[in-house]
Amino acid sequence: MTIVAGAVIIGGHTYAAETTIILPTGGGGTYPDATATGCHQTGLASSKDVTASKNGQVIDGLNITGTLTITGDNVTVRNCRVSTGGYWVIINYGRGTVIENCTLIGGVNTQACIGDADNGYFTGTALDISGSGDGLKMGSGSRLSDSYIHDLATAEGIHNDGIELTGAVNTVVRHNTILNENGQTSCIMLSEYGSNPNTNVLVEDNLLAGGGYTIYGGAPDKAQGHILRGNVFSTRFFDRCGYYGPVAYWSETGNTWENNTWADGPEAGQPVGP
Amino acid sequence: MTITATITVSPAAPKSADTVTATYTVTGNDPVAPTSTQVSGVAHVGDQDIDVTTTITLPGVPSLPETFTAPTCDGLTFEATDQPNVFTALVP
Repeated sequence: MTIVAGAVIIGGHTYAAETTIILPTGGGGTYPDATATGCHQTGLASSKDVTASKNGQVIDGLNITGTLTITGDNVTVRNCRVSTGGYWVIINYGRGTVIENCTLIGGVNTQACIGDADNGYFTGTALDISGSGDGLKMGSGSRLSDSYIHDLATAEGIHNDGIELTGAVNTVVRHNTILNENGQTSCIMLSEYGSNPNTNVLVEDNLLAGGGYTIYGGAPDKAQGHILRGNVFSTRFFDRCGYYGPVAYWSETGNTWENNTWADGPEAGQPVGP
Repeated sequence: MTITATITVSPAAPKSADTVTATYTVTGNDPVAPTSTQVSGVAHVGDQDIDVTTTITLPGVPSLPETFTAPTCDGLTFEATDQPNVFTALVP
């Protein structure tokens, strides 16, 4: 309960008034949105498809209408807007890629706004991600923080994951807003059904809402070492966060689920259990 | 009539990114319309008492001026709207 206090001055006399309100709770307090993420820089230089093949290359201030392919290592992409209806917005083969303050927009046929391939990995910060089928396909060692995944593609038969992890080890998803208003699949997909299990994935302090189940937890893979900690689950789309609930296929053995709570709704601040 | 002021906030359990609306309600600060009333008296004329009456109209009283302050709440910043008794805040 939080107190809302006010006063009315009537004829020179002050009358106090107050009421209470239940505000959403969560470890991070506020979570990323469109104002805090993406590229807000003006005067971007226009470009079609771009390939960043040089190690250490820096791409800054481009408006790319096409796919950005990263093959060099330690490439930095910042203050860019990348949009395409193609298969990838960014396909990342590079190791140590840094992507920050970028707006990434896919289309209904786009697999994801960033896809790691061939052991490529990236650190993404303050990204505004939308329009694609999945927001991200993250591999081993990739990290996403302070970013906003929202308004994923809608189409007949499409399966939306805010983030799909594929064979990911030591991957980190921290302090992001991940929204999937479609009542299917997930915000975060840890399950790969045995084909390419994920292990040691840290999902911490995120605002999550939507999907069929918001989290697909890894089982029936023999995944170990996942930590889901301090996340808040919102009812903004569905009463149970996801259409069917907040989490499915979570294995208690070898994984950690702690301090995950409802962000809002009638159970605001209460624990969310697997 | 006793004047009271109350405040309500809707929705009472908002979600993140919702806009909440705080509304003041004042009761009792009602205007009084002009009223007609009778003034009575007695005139002594010789040994006679003569009752006399007349009517006057008492002035009306308008509502007192009302000023509403922006509500305060930890975690919310209320902004004014076109209606002086209504404020809104975006839930982070």
